[in-house]
This record gives sequence, structure tokens and C-alpha cells, in this order.
Amino acid sequence: MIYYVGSFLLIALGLYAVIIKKNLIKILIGLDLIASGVNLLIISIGYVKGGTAPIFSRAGLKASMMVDPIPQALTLTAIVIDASEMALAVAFVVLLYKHYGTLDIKKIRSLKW
Amino acid sequence: MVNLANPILLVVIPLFFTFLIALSGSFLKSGVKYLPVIAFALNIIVSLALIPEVVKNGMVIATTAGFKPPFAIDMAVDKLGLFLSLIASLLGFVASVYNLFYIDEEPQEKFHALFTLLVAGLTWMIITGDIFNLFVAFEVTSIAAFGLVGFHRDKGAIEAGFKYLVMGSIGGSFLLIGIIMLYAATGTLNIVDIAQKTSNLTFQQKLFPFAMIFTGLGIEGALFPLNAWLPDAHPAAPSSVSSILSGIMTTAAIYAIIRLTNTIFDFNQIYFFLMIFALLTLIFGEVSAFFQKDIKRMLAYSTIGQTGLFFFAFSLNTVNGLQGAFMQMVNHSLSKGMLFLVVGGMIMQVGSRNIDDFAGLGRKMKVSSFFLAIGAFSLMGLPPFFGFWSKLKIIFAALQNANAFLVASVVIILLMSVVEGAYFFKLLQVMYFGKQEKDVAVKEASYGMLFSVVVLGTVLLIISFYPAPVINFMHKAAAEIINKNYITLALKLGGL
Repeated sequence: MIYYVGSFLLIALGLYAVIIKKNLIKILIGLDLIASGVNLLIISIGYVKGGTAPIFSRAGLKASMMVDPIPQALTLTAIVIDASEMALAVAFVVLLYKHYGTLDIKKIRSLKW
Repeated sequence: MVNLANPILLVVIPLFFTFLIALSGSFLKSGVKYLPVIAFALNIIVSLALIPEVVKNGMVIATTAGFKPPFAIDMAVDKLGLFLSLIASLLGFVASVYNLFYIDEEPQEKFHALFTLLVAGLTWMIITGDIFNLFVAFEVTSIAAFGLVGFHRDKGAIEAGFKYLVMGSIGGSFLLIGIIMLYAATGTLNIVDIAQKTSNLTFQQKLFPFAMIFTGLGIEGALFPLNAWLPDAHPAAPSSVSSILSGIMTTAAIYAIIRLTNTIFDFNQIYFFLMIFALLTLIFGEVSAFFQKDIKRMLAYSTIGQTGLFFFAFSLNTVNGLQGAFMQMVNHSLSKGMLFLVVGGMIMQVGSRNIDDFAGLGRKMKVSSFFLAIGAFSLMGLPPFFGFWSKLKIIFAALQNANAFLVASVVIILLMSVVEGAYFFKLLQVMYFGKQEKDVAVKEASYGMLFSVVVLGTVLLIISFYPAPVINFMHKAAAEIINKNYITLALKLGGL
């Protein structure tokens, strides 16, 4: 349960940062928090208390004693996607800084939403 | 002889060419620009080869990795998916021919790689049969689109790209939350498998994943409160990219909503709510388009309006309504894709995006202006163009079981058609009868660029004058969606 609460707190915190903060880097941190929150949510959905890795490594291991492997695979994919998105976002921020010499979105003309 | 009728090829070919372009860019130099043309020509051939199979069996399913679904990812093409992937390949092909003459800015190999990736992701999103795969395709498309929107690297493009990136990645996260909630409720990711298990769920259990998925796809599909990025991003992108973004991307996102709503979330309580969203989108798009001075911005707002229109037709939730929605999707993809290509050539000649600077172009760029007029007429819904048939179908479908609210919606649609007509006629009037004060030397666009425009225009004219095959095909596709044939066919053909 604590994992679900934690993941939704992370997502809410990230959304807050994206909407309220005026600094481009802080907005990126917010985006990353949302992504981390979602990843934590996925992992906790597949979690089985006291479960082991989903490999038939010793005799007598039943499927109910393992954690669900599919969410872990999904999380890996999601992490790769987030990483590439972040790289692109940082490139955009570098270019914005070159054009305007500031990271404050209030001083960047049309960046209002 | 390889079996060409395999949906996986539709994704694999452009993905292979994406990496080929990126890797061979250093020694092929500007020769890489021919590779996307080959990729999409192959894609058109595969789509055409799929037609007889889909007509015979109703659906073609390809599984991957040697396992059976739901353990492996599968690609499922039914009638609607086939038609949309054919349009995506066609638009990708003509836009890449257009790119041969249009893109002269460096780095070329990166542009062409991203462009191929964009269309590959869109086709993937249309034909996938696995809900997590839908998310991956969504993100592939988005990341390619972010890069392409910022391609010019001037102030406007970078700002629009960043804005789009922030909204798009939040949308992707919402979509992922929705998908994982569905997984938590059903324990599977295959669309057909989920559809069989969601019938046991209560309305409340389905509502949360639906709201999340709807928000995520709604950002990409530019539904009303979520579309702040679109009027900046579409004009900032190079025109060939705007043509793909406007023509296929919003359509593909709405297609995904239609597919998931009708297959997985089988509920009737939300359609009224969707209808309100659709009407707001329609009004917002068309009214904003009316006040634009920048021609590409005007077309971008018009895209929002069109999205609202076919989303409205979908939210009627009847066979006729869906048929109207699909016809309007086809009409919008072809004509808006063509309009952006034409306008790109004109902007290149005039050197400005302001409508007032287009005065007198109707006499100087005769072919371009002619096709611009055709595209505009078809979007407005003037007879005998295809847009007339689709708008007529939507209005008839809305009046079928008319209550006061539906009659009011039809009045709104007609009113918005008038607004749409007003701004397109204003543009045409400036072009054909306006006086150009500055004497600038304007030539017709180059033959290669005209070729792409003429191909799309010809397809549009053919379906305008012989609409019966398309209308019948769309009727069958709509009936299949309403009758949930997707599930029964997939079960029969081994999609599960």
C-alpha cells in the first residue's frame, strides 16, 4: 500500500513542479518525477510480498511465490523511453538558453500554457 | 517469394530504413533522402497486398517471436486499420517525395531518419493488437515528432517543440498509468484478451483506466482542453511534417480511442460526455481559425475543428455515425495533408506566412492554387467533393434518433461549417482577386513538389466522384466495430 501512496505522491509532486515552477530545469525535474512515479506504480502492481525472482532456480518453487515479471519488463521499456525523452528535453533547454540567455519561462515570450 | 501480406512488414520496413538512414548518413551524404521514398513505396505495396486477405478473412493477424498471443505481441489489421495504414503509407510516400526538393537544411540524415520513424510509429499505433505496444508506438511517434517540430532550431520552433514535449510526455505518462491499471485489473496486455475479461468489471473499475487513456490519447489527438501545443507545433514544423502531423497523427490518436472504447471499455454512459468534448473542440478550432493571419496557424486550428467533427460523429455510437466519422477521417487526412504540402511550396516562393502576402498567387501559381482550392472545398464540404458526402452522413446520423440536444449539435456543426467556409473563401479571395503591392518574382513550385500535391489531389478527386466503394467499405468497417467483430474475428484467426 505504501508503494501506491508513494507513487501517486511522486506523480502529484511532478505535476505540481511542471505546472507551477518557472524554471525550465525544474520543469524537467518535474517530468522526471512523473516518470519515476509511474515506474514505481508499475513495479508495485507486480510485487508479491516475500516473492522471489521469477526463475525456476530451485525445486519446490511455485509460481505464486514469485513476483510478476511482466511489469518489470514494462518498466525497463518505460525507463528507456523516459531517458530518451529527457535527453531530447535537455537538448531543447540548451537551445532555448542559447536563444534567450535565460531559463525563466516568464521571460521567454510565447512559452505560456 | 516472400509473403507480402504480413502486417509486421508495415512496421519493420520503415524501422529498418530509419536505422539504415541514420547509419549510412555519413557516407551517402544527401543521397539518404531517397531512402524514405523506397521505404514508403514498399509500405504501399504491402498495404495493397493485404487488401485481398483482409476482404477474404475480415482480418489479418501476425504473431511475433514464435509464441501464441496473449504471450506474444501480435499485429492485427482489420478493415479500418488497413484503410488508415494505406493512407499513412500514401501520405508518407508523397511527403518523402516532397522532401527531396523541400529540405535543404542540415543535418539531412537526421531529418529523414526522424521522418521515417514518425510514419513508422503512426502505422504501428494503427495496427498493433497489444496495449503496451500501443504505448511504445505512441512514444516513438511523439519523440520523432518533438524532434521534427524543433527541426528549424529558430526561436519559434524550439519553443513550440519544448511546449509539445512537456505536454506530450505528460500525456504518455497518463496513457501508461491507464494501461497498467487495465493490466492490474485483468492480468493481460492483449487487447482481445482484455476485452474478454473487462466484461466482469464494474463501471467504476473501468472508468479510471478509461479516463487516464482518454487524457493521454486526447493530448495527441488535440481534444479541446488538451490541445494548447498544436497551434504552435504544427506551424513551426517543416511543411511536409505538418502534413503528416495534421493528416495522420490526430487521426491515429482518435482511431486508438475509438478502437479501445469500442473493444475494451464497453459502456454507454460516457458518450454524452464525449459529445460535449467534441463540440467544444469543434467550436474552439473553427472560431480560432477564423481570426488567424498566419496561414499555417489557420490550417492547424482547422485541424482541431475537424478532429472535433469526427469525434462528434464517433460519440453518436451508431453504425451510421461511425461511418461518417471514418469518411471524415479519410477526407481530412487527404485534403489537410495536401493543403499543408501546397502551402509549404507557396511559403517557399513568397517567403512569408501572412495571408495578405498571398495576394495574386492564384494567377502566378496556377496549379498550386487550383489544388489548394480543391482541398479547401473538400474540407468545407462543398458538393461534389468527398467532404460533402461525409458531412452529409454525419448530419443524417445525428438526426437519426434526434432529440433536442442532437438537433442543437447539428445546428452548431452547420454554423461551424459556415465559419470554415468563411475563412477558406477569404483566403481564396485574397489569392485570386487580391492585388499584390510589392512586385515579387513568384514562380510555380518545382515539379517534384507539384507531383506530391497532384497525386494526393487526384486521389481526393477520384473518391469524390466515385464515392460508392469508399462509402460501402466504411459502412462495413463501422458495422464491424459496433458489432465487436474485432473480438470474434481475432478469436477465430488465432489472435488469442
